[in-house]
Amino acid sequence: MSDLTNQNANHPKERSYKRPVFVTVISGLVAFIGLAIMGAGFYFGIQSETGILNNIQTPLAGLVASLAIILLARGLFQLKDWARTTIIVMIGVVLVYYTISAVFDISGKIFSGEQVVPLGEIASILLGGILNWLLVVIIPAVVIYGLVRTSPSFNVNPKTRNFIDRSVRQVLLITALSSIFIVFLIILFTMSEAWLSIQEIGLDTMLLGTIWRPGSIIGNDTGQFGLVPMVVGSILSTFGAVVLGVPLSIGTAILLAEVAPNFVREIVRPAVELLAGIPSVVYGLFGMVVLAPMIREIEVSRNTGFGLLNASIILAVMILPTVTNIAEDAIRAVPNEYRSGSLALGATKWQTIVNVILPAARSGLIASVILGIGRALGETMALIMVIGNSIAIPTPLNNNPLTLFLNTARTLTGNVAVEINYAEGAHRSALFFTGILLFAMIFLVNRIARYLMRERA
Amino acid sequence: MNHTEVRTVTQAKTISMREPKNLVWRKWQQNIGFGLLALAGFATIAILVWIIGYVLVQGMSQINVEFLTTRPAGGVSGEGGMSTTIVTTLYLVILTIVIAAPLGVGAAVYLVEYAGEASRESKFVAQLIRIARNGVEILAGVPSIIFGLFGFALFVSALKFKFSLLSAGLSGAALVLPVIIRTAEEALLTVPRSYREGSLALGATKWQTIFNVVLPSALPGIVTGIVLSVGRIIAETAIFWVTLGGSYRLPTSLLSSGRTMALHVYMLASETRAFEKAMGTAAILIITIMVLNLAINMISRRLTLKINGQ
Amino acid sequence: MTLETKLRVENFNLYYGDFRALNEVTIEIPKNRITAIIGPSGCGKSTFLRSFNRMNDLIPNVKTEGQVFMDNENLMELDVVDLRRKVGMVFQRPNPFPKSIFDNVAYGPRMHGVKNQNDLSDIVETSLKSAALWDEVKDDLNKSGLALSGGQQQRLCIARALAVEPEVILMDEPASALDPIATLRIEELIQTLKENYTIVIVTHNMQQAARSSDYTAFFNMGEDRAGYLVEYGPTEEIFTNPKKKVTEEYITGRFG
Repeated sequence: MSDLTNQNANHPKERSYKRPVFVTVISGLVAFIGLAIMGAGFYFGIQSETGILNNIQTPLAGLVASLAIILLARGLFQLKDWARTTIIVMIGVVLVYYTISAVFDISGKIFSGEQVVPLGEIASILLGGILNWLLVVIIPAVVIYGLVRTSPSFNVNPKTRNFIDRSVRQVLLITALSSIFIVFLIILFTMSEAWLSIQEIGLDTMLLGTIWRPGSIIGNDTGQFGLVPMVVGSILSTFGAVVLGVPLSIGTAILLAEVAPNFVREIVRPAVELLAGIPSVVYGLFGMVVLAPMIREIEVSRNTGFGLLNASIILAVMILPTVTNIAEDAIRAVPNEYRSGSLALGATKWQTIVNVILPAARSGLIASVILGIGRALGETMALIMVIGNSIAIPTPLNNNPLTLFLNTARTLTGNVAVEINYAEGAHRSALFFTGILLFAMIFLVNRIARYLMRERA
Repeated sequence: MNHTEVRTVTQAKTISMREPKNLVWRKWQQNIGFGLLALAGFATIAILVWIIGYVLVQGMSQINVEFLTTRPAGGVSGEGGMSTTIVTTLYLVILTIVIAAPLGVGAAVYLVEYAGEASRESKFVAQLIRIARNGVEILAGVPSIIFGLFGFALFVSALKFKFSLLSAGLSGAALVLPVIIRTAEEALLTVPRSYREGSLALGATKWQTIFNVVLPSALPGIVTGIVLSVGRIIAETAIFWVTLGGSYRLPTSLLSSGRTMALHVYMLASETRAFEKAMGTAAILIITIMVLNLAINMISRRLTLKINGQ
Repeated sequence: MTLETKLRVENFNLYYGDFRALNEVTIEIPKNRITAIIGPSGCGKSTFLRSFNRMNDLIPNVKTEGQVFMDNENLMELDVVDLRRKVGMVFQRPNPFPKSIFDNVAYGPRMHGVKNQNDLSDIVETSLKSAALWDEVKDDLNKSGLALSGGQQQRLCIARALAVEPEVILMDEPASALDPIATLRIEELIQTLKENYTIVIVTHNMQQAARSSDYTAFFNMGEDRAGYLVEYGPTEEIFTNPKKKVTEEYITGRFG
């Protein structure tokens, strides 16, 4: 029986654990695979028509691979923990890859036709698939299991432990930087795609032009790429959303923070959260199917029910959770001493809210509205479905200026989503430019909001 | 210090004289004000009930086993069901989480556990960490269509993945990464210092401590973040419209195109007249989201119980 | 000189949920005098003070038994908003609103319907003078109330309370957060105020109570951790010739 209490950290090469039979077997297997690869490499090299000297890569590759594998086997034989981990990981990767293709395979069979195949057949497909998978997976799984079970036999010398510790730290630093890396990539790729449009169409045309007609035959056939109609559409729909949504949101926020008894809070707050989770397409669908006919009732010519009013209503509901949450936080953050001070002077609760609490929460409330604006500017799908997507600058439908909102429009976001799938060349590049414009607008809006929120603290 | 001036009689009557009338008026103001607030709260609930109710009621009539197990027929007819969309959504969710969760949790672990001492050790690293945090904030504010454009430019075009699960999954991962990082950070911060100190005092390395003590303890919070991301992905449309394509067939590999449930609703609504089918799909969507919300609430409740009842 | 009673408390008990904080308090507070409430920490002095303007009503789970009267009217039957105007309060830590000095003092009158700018200016000036703050701030009434020093902020809060023409002023350790010189000024100010207002002041500072007040009430914490009134009388008597042993022990500093 070997000495199982190895205290000696000065002799990392000294192994004091008994080598399990299993490990011997596996290392032998791995070594055999390595030799086989070497042999195969030479074999194919010799078999090649141009002779081994002309086709030296194959045997060479085989040699390198096999040497690496033999080293691995030796490491395992010597009970080195890194070897064990490497083998487990490699087998694991292969298993995962195989499992993924098995899943696709099985589900492909189940969903192969128009209909899902009948229940009995599903069962047999599943059974067959799982059996198949098990057959392939069982041996590698046993190997992994065995290696994991024999882990106490592997010594991990402190140097390796520290090495792992330090490298983990670097790896994690890289993951932490992943966000900014993605931001960088986003800017890089959208910029590079947009560059063509800046060159060919020009910033002034895009930013100041009022006609968007890609592939236009008016004038020359390079098309017109003025973004102003879309900017107007975005701004008007956002404006409408703010007018309709902010009073409702702030009212709800005050209700939740100051006035509502507990049971009311228990109902309203989950309701607000649920509103936040509803997918935007559902809002769009609702706008199409329910709101549009209702708006069409308004007796104005050319009123289709789709347009800025529909969009504003939907958008107002969509920004409600954002604005309410932040506004509620801002109101709660007002120190209690202000409330006590005001009430002790004989003011009513309402007077306290209006004259002390809301003014004190002012920057937070403004921040909530601004974040709502950012959210509204960024919304895409719901708006596409209800706003009509016309490419002209929206104007009032008749003498009443309010009918502006009955007209259809298109937003910057909608512009991108509707045309990106078939746009080419400068047109497509212009859409990327629209994306950059949008990014810049929303980035600015968010910065302002963050500044305001920090100023309050 | 003798500045005491007794109020003149006329002034003394100013406020007390106004009082009864003024008080009645103020109370009325309060009632109206509170009434308006109650109206706001009521309106919020009413809107929610109306939208969800309408979609569910309209959609329920469409939902049966056949609807759920038939493939969409594509084209203008809008016939068929939504079977493949359910599976595609599932694939996409799994793929996105598999990519985003390790990245996000890893980043959160670094920012919470390592960033403090790392910034003290090196000014350069401190700068890097500040940039990293800023990155998370910026990423959180990017609208989803921009992620779509980005995915389109990088994955679909440049890397030639074309419209595929892979492009959509990578783009979606970028979208939810900030959510996972933020919630994971919060979860890690709630783990008491004593846990870490106890483990280190037993001679474990920092990484062992994190992996075996801190992460398990922070798990409910991290899981909440992941479930939130799942909800986000299921609800998202714009980003996948531009990276996933719209094929109604079942994806046969990571490079196949497909259609999520949300995308299906959009395509039905905008390319066909089959509004009832769209409602049906939307109803399934809403039910899924509500179930997810319930899951989140249950997890957070268990979480707060764990923290308080300890 | 007959002493009118302004506030009368009969068998007053207060509970936070199941926990009794005040135990059978019976006391009469005289009009236009300074009554000090002293006692060790945690014996319910502040809670008792807050009963006079029903600020305890804002705390959930508070129940009371017994009655409190002002001018023979039961507080619970009066409108609470109206009561709080008549019974003003100055808090332990100065809590001016994040508004200008002018708006701080004018807040009360505005809430009570005074709209005329001249009236407001008059009231503000008078109140600031009564609070001995006018000279220091008269040049810039638009400065933020939060920009003043601690002592000035507290005097601002007193001016603010005076501006609504209260009958009673409750003060909860008004000088405890201030330095000695500011404390002295507050004490002098309180002396000038008693001419027109009934003042009830909770204080930790026995020397302050001894030299500034006319009447003193000594509260102590009972074994059930509820506060109870031990002894009440003219300040001179309480401090030179206390009737209860416990009072004497507290005054001579043997506990609390």
